Amino acid sequence: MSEQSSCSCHGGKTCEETGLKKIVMVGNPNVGKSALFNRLTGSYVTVSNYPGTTVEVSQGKCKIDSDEYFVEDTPGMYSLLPITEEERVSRDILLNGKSDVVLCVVDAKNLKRMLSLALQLVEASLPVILVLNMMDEANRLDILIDEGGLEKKLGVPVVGISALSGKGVDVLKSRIHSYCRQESTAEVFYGDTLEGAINALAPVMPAETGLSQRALALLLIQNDPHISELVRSVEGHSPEFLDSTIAELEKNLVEPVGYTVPMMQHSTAEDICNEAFNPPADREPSFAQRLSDWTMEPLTGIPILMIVLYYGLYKFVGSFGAGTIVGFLEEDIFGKYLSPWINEMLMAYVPWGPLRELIGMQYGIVTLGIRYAIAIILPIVGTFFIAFSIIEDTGYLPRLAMMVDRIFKKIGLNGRAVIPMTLGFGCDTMATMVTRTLETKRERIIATLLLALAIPCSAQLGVVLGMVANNRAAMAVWAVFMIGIFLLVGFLTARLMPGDRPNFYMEVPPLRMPRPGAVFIKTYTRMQWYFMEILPMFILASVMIWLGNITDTFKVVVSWLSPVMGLIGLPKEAAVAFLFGFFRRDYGAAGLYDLQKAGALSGNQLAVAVITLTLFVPCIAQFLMMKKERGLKMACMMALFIFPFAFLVGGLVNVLLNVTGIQL
Amino acid sequence: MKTNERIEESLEKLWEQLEENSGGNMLSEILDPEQNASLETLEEKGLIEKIQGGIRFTETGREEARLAIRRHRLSERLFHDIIETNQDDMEEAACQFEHVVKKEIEEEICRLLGHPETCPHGKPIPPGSCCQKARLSGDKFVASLASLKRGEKGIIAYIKAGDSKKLQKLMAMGILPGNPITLTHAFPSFAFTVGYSQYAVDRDMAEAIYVKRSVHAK
Repeated sequence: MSEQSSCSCHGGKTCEETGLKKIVMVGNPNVGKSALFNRLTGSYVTVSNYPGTTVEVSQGKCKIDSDEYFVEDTPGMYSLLPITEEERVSRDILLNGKSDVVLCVVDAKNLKRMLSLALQLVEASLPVILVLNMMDEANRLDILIDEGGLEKKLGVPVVGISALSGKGVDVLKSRIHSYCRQESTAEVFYGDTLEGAINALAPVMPAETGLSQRALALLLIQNDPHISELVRSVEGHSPEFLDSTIAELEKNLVEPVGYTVPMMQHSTAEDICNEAFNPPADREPSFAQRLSDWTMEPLTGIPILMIVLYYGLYKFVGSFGAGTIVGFLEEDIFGKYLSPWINEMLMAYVPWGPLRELIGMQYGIVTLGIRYAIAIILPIVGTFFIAFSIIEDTGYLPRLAMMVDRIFKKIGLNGRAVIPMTLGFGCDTMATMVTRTLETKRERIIATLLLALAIPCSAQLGVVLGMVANNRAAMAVWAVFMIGIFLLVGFLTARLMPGDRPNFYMEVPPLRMPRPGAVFIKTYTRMQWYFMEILPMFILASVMIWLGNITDTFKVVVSWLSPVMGLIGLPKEAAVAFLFGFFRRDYGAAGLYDLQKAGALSGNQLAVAVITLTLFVPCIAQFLMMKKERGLKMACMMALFIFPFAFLVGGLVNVLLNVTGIQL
Repeated sequence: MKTNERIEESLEKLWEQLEENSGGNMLSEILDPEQNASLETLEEKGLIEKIQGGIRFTETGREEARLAIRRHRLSERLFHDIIETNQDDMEEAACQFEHVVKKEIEEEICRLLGHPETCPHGKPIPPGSCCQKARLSGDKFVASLASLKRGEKGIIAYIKAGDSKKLQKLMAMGILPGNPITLTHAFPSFAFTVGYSQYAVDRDMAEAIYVKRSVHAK
């Protein structure tokens, strides 16, 4: 590699906004970057979108001795040449920002394949420290790694750590603190033809980016559209020179550049590894490996999925969260103490009726908004997020993705979409946001629609299950219809929307025992997001309901909705529940719950009501998220489809049940 | 065009007519005087003979025609599967390439392609001796990952270069030629290990990965 300036320990450029030195973390997906990030920064973390994209980047601060560092965790990347938007964001962070230290995090047992990225970073003149994470796992597999030897070959510091247990993190911190650029660093030799082109192009590359001119030339040769744009935008270059050099190169190469370059990088990585990395011969599969095999085998995988659903969702979230905890908070704390106390205070000190209604009473901010948020939603969503984080941490989700890929292909998605879909059972709003991780626009649209239509969120699920708990037949009709609609609408949407068949490819990390600390941080971050995003919505909904009530707007709307209720065979009173359902999905469900408790619903009406309600509306929060992620037009189109569709299906179920004479 | 090539082209056309019964054209009409050797030339060379109401291959002629059609369709497969040229280019390239393929190279290509049974158009490729041997030992030298048995091991031979995004994705994940690979699951989707990593892919992606199968894997 080209000569680099000698030691620049303390003269380095610093992070513009804060004046702090900047650490950037990069690495393949699933190497434990986030775990290391949490180790370095504690929990003082902000997650924000990278400008102009929907990709999230975590930022935090880290203290080493008395110096404070600014730490940025980038989305997983495989190569400096990006494929996905996430990879492009990571690359752009390296390209645009000046970093003082770049931590290239690799999975120690897969060093051989991940070293290629490290080499690319070193070659781009970035101030790299190679972090061999999961050293404990590698040691357990008897893989020996000669860190000193690697350090010599690469010309950058190499530190072995275990981010989960924290072993080696202190050494890493001191290496960051004393970081110093080496005189000579490793370089890939791409063969005479390619080297000729690189050397010809490098001098005309922009010099003021985070990447070396050689790295830029290499990316340009590999047809990176963004680099190409960047280089061409620099004044004083003739694009003809670039074009002719590249055309000449392509003519002289036997194999395509897209093949040759990664091959050379990987073979250099292998050469380096051959001396420093000693994996043992094959071993007996461990229990975790066998269990992993079972999860991916339909015969054993489906029962395992059932067990996970039964204990994770039904028992833990349904019985414990929605039953025990909600019962305690809602009925005991709020029902017996808090709400009566608030109402008494209001009666005693607030003379104006409408203000009393705004704060307390039936639909007040405290008695409805806050009560719902704290006593009903918090326990259900909280237990769901705990269960989801545990499942996520074990590495089960990619296995589930593999199992459902074939079915998901039929509805225009691929296995990867199982992650937002599962998350939707917790909170559809959050899941709608997560659909941005899907690769194509088509998949994102289909997933958003299905989430809005057919996936009930945990709060809604809790109330719906509560309603049908004593009527197994209605529960079965509801479940069959929801699954059927999910598949049918997905299938039809996929037919209606043109687009390429999505490809499914995913790395399957080893099954791991989840760590309480990591589960806690994930759950905590999600809960925090949920509250910041959702609590204002609850309060807003209370205010809207209050306004609607005192201005009689609701009465008018209810009078419009009532005939519709009649059409689908529901009592008139259900109109109120559906109207409120728009403000919060679960309000609606709860309204129906009261009706059912009062014995106003027959079995058939119950089935019609829960089906219509589950399909009906994304709540306001979800609708706003749909607008944010998919645009106003698309969100409105989906809502315009969902409203009539929900009632249509409700009516259809009613007619079907009546015609066949089934009484649930 | 050389005489030999013209003869081979004629034989191929006659093969399709006589052995595969494609179309009901008059024999004299299927041969293009510009491109093909005439029936008379073929008869002179002892490759065909006149019979009542038409012609038929002599024994030598039949064998020659079989080999010519085999080389042509193998070449098509080569250009279609590995080089991934489009339909028109494939046709043109195959037409030139088939005439320069020697017997040993023909077998190498056949092995590389995994002893294919049909050409990209779905017409049968007459088997060579290498195919019979391979069939007897139940071994295809190079085959797509999707056609491997569960638990089978091999070395990644190449990634089909057709869709460069697919190639880039697979290579970036470390799925590279020369690395040992084990197929761990084949249903409902494909899962395999390379090094210490496991990956799950759909059929499309699995079909793009070609694996040199190890003969002793069974």
